[in-house]
Amino acid sequence: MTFPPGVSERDFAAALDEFRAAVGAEWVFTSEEDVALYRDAYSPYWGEPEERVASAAVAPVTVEEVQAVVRAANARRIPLYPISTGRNLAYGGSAPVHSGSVVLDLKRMNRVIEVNERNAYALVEPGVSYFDLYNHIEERGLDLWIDPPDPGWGSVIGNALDGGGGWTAYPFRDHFGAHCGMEVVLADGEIVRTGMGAVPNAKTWQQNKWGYGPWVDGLFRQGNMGVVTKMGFWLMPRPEAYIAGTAEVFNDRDIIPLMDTLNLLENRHVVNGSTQLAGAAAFGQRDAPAWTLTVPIYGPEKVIRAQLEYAREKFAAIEGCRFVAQEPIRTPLSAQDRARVRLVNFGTPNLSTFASLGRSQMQPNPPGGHIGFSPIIARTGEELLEFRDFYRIGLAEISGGDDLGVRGPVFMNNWERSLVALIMFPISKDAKSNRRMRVAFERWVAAAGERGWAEYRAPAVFQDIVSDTYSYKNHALRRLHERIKDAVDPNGILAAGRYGVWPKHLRKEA
Amino acid sequence: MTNRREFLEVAAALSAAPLAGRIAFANAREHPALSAVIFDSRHPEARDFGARAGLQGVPLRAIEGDITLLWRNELLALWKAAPNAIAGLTECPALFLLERLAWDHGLRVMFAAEHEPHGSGDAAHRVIRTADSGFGCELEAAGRSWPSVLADALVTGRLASSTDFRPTDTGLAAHLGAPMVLHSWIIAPRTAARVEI
Repeated sequence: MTFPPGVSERDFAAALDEFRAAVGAEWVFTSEEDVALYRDAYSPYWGEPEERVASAAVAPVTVEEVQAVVRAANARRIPLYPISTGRNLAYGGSAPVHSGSVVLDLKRMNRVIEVNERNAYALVEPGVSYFDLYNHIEERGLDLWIDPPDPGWGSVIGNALDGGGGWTAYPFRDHFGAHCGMEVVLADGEIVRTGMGAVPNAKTWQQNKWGYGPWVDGLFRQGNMGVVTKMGFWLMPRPEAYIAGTAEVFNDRDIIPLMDTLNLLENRHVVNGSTQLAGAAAFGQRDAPAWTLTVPIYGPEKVIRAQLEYAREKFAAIEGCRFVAQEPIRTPLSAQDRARVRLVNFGTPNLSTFASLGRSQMQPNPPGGHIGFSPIIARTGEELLEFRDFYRIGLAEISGGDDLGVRGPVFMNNWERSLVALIMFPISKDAKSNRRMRVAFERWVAAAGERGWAEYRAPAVFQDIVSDTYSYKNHALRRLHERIKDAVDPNGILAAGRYGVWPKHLRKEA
Repeated sequence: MTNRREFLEVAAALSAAPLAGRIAFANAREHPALSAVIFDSRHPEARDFGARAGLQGVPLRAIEGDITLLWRNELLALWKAAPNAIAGLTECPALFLLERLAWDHGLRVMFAAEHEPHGSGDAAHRVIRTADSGFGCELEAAGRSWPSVLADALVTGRLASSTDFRPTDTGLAAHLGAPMVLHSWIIAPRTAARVEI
């Protein structure tokens, strides 16, 4: 059995007894076979001594039980690692950042507390998955869409708190950005509601994000300042239709006006869907376009037809640009449309992305598990070309003369105003292969960081080195995070090390 | 081998009953029966496996890699009602997902094996978890008939381990650069000693 570091066997046993008293003995997991379920299936340290593993798990079902567990842990300085559903594969799954932590498993807290059609929002608990919320809405015939990530089996709250994104219209596909109000249990067991949730009897908790005074919600995004037990989200009223056009340019450097045009269209809110950008390498044909950009638009049919026409006019200003408009797809989707579209673009969660990881004629050697290297880059064609060249040149150099099965970059537009240049690193269960992958990953982080490209999100084992790249003025931002951490969680029990924020007693310099 | 048309005719005849209809039957027994056999119809070996299992009266469900519809439309309700046992012959991603979804309903992978088909119709087999240590040899001896032997053994229930509940080491990440492999499995309630039909 793994024990929390620095905790005596006696204290740990006493804490487990208190957890059992709080949630019931059947919801405290200590056996090897149960705790093994919390391993990260994509751990870059799988089976090695450095693999981050839990010591136990406890699964409360109410916020009062969360409070009781947190208070017991705080009294005995037991490290807790809250998870929602633990489906955060490629970014750590349900394994703790600090090995030996007790996983605080919130998946039993799975109530959809409210879905309000008139004001288009939902209030949910951490165990509610995208499937759960989708089913809730479908069963009640509500005219609302959710914005699922790919895949959609994870927690709505968990994905938002980890900084995840989806595939429908902006602003809904920025999952943390689309939240409105949260309830948090602090390390001492106190409950805080943010925004208008702090006003007794207010009916606006899910309608006004800001409330009054300093806004603290951001402290809980990729954070470890509390345990989020409820969260509100703005939902998209079902759009009447979807339309898309594809702009193709045949000169490599035409990516520069292509991106400028896209920025204009997005910043004017003419294009609101999740755009797809592909380079020539994706086509493998000499006469193929150098760049292909698909711009989706959601809204009333007569409006989006006009918006697409406006987009066509703007792209026509790029010499040689070919623009192909698609016919609109009306919603709700017909069975025929449902079978041919990418469902996440239509608010429908699914798991098909895993099937695409299987073996096929198109993909005879699938990558299997993976972790993502996901730096944020500027939304200009120049930067995009620079990153592409950095990737091409760096791949052999940084990876020691071998591409290691690394794939990318994919330029993701899930968020406004910037791009994420995603590179996927395959992960296996072979220690030798994983070791090479880790070395390469760390080199990529450092090399990209020197150019100002730092990640928006990282696998648990790399969160420290990514945090290191946010180093302005001797890591002033991280030091601020640490000062806040010390104030709100002085015993450092909550999610130690998450996103590079360690409690005082575990810091490198401590 | 069964061709796709023959298979679909058999499957259509046997698969009409919804899985939910199996719940009462399953619960009425001391040990849970198989509520469904799932197979990846893109593979001839899996089609043979499914056809054989179907002949023994187990509801069949065909997938083509993606489990989403099966999960949403049937398995979720089946497992919310009770931890009903299922078995299958699929690619790795389906097992990877179903295993993790099953954990939340008190189910574990009780039997797991890998099968690497050869062009000739037989396959190399690696049994990972079972109560029957001789089953690997049985599969090897079956030659090209291994899908039928596998189906018989899974459906009649003698393979499910009652002592090993750890996550299977057959997840996506286990197969970097590996050859095409099919996975057979039983997912059953953790307390079930055997799977019986």
